[in-house]
Amino acid sequence: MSRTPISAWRAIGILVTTLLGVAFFNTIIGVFGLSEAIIGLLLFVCLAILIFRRSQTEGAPQ
Amino acid sequence: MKLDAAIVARVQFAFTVSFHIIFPTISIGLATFLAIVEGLWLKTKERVYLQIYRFWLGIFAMSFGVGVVTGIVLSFEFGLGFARFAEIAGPAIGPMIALEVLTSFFLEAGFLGIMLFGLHRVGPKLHFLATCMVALGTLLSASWILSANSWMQTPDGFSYQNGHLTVTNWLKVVDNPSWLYRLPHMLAAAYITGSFLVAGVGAWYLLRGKYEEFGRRTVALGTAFATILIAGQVFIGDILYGTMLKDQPSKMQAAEGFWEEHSQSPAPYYWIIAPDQAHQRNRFALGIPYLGSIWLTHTLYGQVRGLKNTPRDRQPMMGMVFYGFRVMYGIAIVMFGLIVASLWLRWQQRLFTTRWFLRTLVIMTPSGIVATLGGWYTAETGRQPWVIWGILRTADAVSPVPSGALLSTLIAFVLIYTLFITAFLIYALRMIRRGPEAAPDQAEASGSLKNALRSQVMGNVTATYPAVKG
Repeated sequence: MSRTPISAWRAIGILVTTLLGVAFFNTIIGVFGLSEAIIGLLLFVCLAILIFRRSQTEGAPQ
Repeated sequence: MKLDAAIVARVQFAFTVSFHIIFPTISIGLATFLAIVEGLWLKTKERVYLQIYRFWLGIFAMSFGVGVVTGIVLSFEFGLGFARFAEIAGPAIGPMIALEVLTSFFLEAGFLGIMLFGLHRVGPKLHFLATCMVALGTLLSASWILSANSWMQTPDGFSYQNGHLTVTNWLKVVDNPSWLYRLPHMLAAAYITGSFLVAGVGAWYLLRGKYEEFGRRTVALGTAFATILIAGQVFIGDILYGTMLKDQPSKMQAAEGFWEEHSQSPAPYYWIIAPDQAHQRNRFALGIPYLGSIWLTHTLYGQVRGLKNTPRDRQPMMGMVFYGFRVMYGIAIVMFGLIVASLWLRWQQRLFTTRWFLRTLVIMTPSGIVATLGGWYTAETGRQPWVIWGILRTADAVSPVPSGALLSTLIAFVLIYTLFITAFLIYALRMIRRGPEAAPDQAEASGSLKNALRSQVMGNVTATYPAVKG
């Protein structure tokens, strides 16, 4: 029972990440225009660099 | 049965160039990765970076060697298999090949020995310089080759009269209309190939619970580089698509799998087609509705131009161009999805502990190579029936050589290259199985060549080296 809420949050997280990924991909390939593609690319790179800074758990893969 | 010499010559060139391109792609990607890793080692003095460097240096050396040997074959094939092409294109292409030798090969030749064998013999900063110079050499090599190939795609800066080509503007030959778009596209492809290669091997170690520090660091570095590069690559790819639509419309018409002058509205994005070139139609087509209009025209109901816009005698074979493009683009989409997943896992601090992700990375280890091959097939088959766009047809470029001679050399190439790839794979897989600890993680440089020579001559000099932590 205690796992259910975590799984629900994780499912929402996966859904949001997928939607963000689809949005970034379409923006970067220029669906919304060239200037939007450049802004999307810069935003994606900045976001990625921020996320790279997070420390990671070390342990056996699950 | 009588074989068409032109077909055999093309198959031979396709085979040798497809084999060749695998190795420069790996060595361009790995050379830059090695320069970054060595820079990180010099900055942090963490021994894991030196271990990563030593491990990948061996695989880089092997791919560099095979790349050079198989590249020389191509120069001979220009003259032997495609003499008319060499005769016409020589004044434009020849100097670029020579400049590749003078700039990149000389640079690489000067520093490769230090990079491969100098870690114990020169100071760390000089060694780092050597690695950077080799990486620069691979980049210059790619620049000249891409310039020559781009000139074949979008020739410029010349006059062509009575079968003779004269260069009128060198700058336009080198910086031809597609070069500045195709060069970053190819370089990004090579760096992405290197990133997935190192991330995949690191993930394999993590799944096996071996060399975990090495595995964690290579997965972190590989996925980080891939994240930035693949985002940049899809951006560059779309810009290149736009320029190709203008410069080589038949290539992009074939790449999208539409025949009619204007597709239906909204246009689907085809993933599988069974093209019938003779009847100018698809026997079967499977695609996603609306996506063709959205991706290709950037509108919801836009129509896509089909291959019937190009006269039949100037059309490339749709199947080859279409599937080359789909392989490249399909892998790029999977890669993009995977790096988005890697960002999500990093956010959750589970990058090194999520088994499905690590397994996917292992499966994706050679994906960069496959995507690069797909891209090159699109570029080269899409240029057909021309070898120099609008100037010389491929069928007219072939040497008057008997098809039997071409076939026998093709068989010889297949046998020899099978030996090459087997040796490369055995060596690389054995290195990966033995693990990074087989490569020493402590350099023993003397600090200078003078000291190294002195120890050889005097035999009593103690080597000194900066302390490492980790």
